[in-house]
Amino acid sequence: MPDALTPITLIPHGYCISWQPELVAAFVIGNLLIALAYFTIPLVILRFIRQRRDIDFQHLHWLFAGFIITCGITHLLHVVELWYPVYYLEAWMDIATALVSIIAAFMLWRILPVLVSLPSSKQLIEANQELLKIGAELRDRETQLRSLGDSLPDSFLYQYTLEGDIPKFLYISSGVERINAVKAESVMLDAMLLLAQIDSRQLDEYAAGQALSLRESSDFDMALHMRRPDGEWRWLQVRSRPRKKDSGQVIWDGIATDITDRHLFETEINRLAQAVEQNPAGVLITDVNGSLEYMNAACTRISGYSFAEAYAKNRTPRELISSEMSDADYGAVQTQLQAGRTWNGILRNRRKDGSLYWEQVSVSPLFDNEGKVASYLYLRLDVTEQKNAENELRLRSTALERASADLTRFADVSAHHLMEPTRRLTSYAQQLRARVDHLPDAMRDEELRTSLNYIEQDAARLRGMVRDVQLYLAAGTPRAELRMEDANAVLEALRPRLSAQLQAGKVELEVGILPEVMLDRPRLTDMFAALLDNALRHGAPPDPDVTARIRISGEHEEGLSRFRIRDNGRGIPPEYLERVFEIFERLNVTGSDGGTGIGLSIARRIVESRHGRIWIENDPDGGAMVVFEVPDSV
Amino acid sequence: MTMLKDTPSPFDVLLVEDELADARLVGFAIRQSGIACTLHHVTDGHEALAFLKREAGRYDGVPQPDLILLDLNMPRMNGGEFLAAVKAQENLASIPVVVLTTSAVERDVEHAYRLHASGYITKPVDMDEFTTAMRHLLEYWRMLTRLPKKE
Repeated sequence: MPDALTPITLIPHGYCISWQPELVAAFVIGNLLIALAYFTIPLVILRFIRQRRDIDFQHLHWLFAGFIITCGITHLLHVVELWYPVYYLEAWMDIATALVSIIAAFMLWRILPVLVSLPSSKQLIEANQELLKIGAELRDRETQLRSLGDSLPDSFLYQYTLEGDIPKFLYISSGVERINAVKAESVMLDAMLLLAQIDSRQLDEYAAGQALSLRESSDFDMALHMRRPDGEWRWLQVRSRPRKKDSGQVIWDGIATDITDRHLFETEINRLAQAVEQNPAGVLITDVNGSLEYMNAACTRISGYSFAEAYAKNRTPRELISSEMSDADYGAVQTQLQAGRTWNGILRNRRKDGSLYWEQVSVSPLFDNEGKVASYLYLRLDVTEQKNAENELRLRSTALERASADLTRFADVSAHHLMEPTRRLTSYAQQLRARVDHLPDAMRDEELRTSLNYIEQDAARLRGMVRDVQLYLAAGTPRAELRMEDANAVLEALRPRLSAQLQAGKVELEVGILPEVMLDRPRLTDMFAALLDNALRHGAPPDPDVTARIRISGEHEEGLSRFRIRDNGRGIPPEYLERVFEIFERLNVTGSDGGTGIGLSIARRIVESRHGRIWIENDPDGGAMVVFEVPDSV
Repeated sequence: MTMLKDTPSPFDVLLVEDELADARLVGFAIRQSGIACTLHHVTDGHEALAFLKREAGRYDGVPQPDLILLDLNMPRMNGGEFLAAVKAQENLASIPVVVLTTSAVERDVEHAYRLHASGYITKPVDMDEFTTAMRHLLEYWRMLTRLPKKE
């Protein structure tokens, strides 16, 4: 025992009680049992604390354990003091116990509200019941959500995760059956049943999007083109949101919506928009007040103004479209439009750069669903080139007509004027001849006669040519009403005039059943007269024993009448096939004849003035054949 | 004025013709036809009107023609204008006018008849034909003009 703890001046406590054995026993037993109990209680507390981690005693338990243990030690010291007077030690022990107790009491005071708030077991039972109710409600909600998911008209809900790299559906609503034509249960078992429907061209994009969503925890959003088992293609808008569970597993919740109709609609709308925007014709839309709402690229190309310029300057179509139009005309256009009718016109307009151009404009009202005029649609075409070409053509055709008229008039007048001196030349030559013939033989001069012969001969030729020119010119215009004429009747009327020629040449004329033809009767007569004359002149067979034969046939088909005039002569050399129709071109194939060769030229002029065709060919059976066609249309 | 007088005759013909060569041919034809007549010749419509109206006393004593032979294409006053002027004068309108021309254009023929020409002859090229034509023409009109007039 250290002296400091057992001073000599003090006496053991046993002496105070005079070592009364029953008192000593009671002290020893009582205090030892108390100490034992006090050392046991902290163990129980510590055990409790360890098991109820949910309660925070803010280290109060350590103070409790501390003050109980110090109390226990004090009681042990009481036993020791019976024999040894360690009162100093006990005093220090009491002070330590007091300190720990005071702090514990203070802490206990502070923690009182926490202790009060600790639920009672009754409260806990109630809470548990409440919890069960909430659980039931939650299940109810889930059922509700699932049935909602199942009954979404064009969508299905899903939840999936990745097992390894393979998607695994945790939930998928029954809409997938309607949209993708696969059973929800089957997809739950094998996600590939659904994913295999994705258009192979989208697979790379799909995988990349999925990987990004996993890496960045970002939403996955994509329009998928999917082919159902029945071969039908659908467009699905798929939106998934990932979330990470404590376990590290990532789960995506999402909704897929069938946007096939919308997609097709959008594609269609887009196509229409492109069609309008890229249309080569200018398209411009204004509201009912004439304020610009839209114009396409072609408008800019045509006018030089961009939409922004036109819009910013608030140029109305009045300025954009009809800069050269009078107010009155513009008013008339407006009136017509307000009446709901389309207006068409060709206007000259000024580009932004000041140059002039022609445009064809068509303005029509656009109606809303209620049938009211909602806006105006302008269609614009730059027709400058056509207009210029038209003008050019008009100028040229006017010039051509004038030249042609001049030429005809010149030919007409000169033929007429040539005729008079030609006629007099002939008459005076004859007069001279008569006088010469009456001269006595002695005065006859051979030179005089020969000269006179030549004068007469050329006068006659000149006369014939002038007459032919007149006939040729006259052949270009109808001399009577243009109508369907019966060619049979015309030939019958012509026959007596030809009979002398036919008999002289012993020519047989065979006329088939001929069609009607759209040609005035005088010129139709001229046609046949010229062609028969030609055949009679040039169509004699090379063998004088063979009977000359002229055959006329024809038919009407596909809006035109066709005639063939055939002889059985020697035909004509190929190089003359075209030349025979030239004016004053006479081919000396049958020896001499009196004509100037104008007949076929006149025939061609008649046919061509009716937009028909005439040609000559050699008949395979020998002889020449002239064919001409005249259309019905005037 | 040229007077081509063969034999004294009461049948007077006025030829309106600017071309002397043609006028001469008409003279030949009439002479060869053997029809007795007096042929007066003027060279245009103005002169012809002056002849008919006896203007300025130049044609005093010359009888009015029984027949007028008229060319169409003439300077100053052409045949058509002359014809219209004659037919507009009441005292002259009864004189028969026969158009004698080179032109055979239908338009001209129609125009002449519309102006009340009494006949239209295209000058034949052949002298014999011309002579024959003139003989028939003159015989016809001489006979007509000699018929007793209705009162």
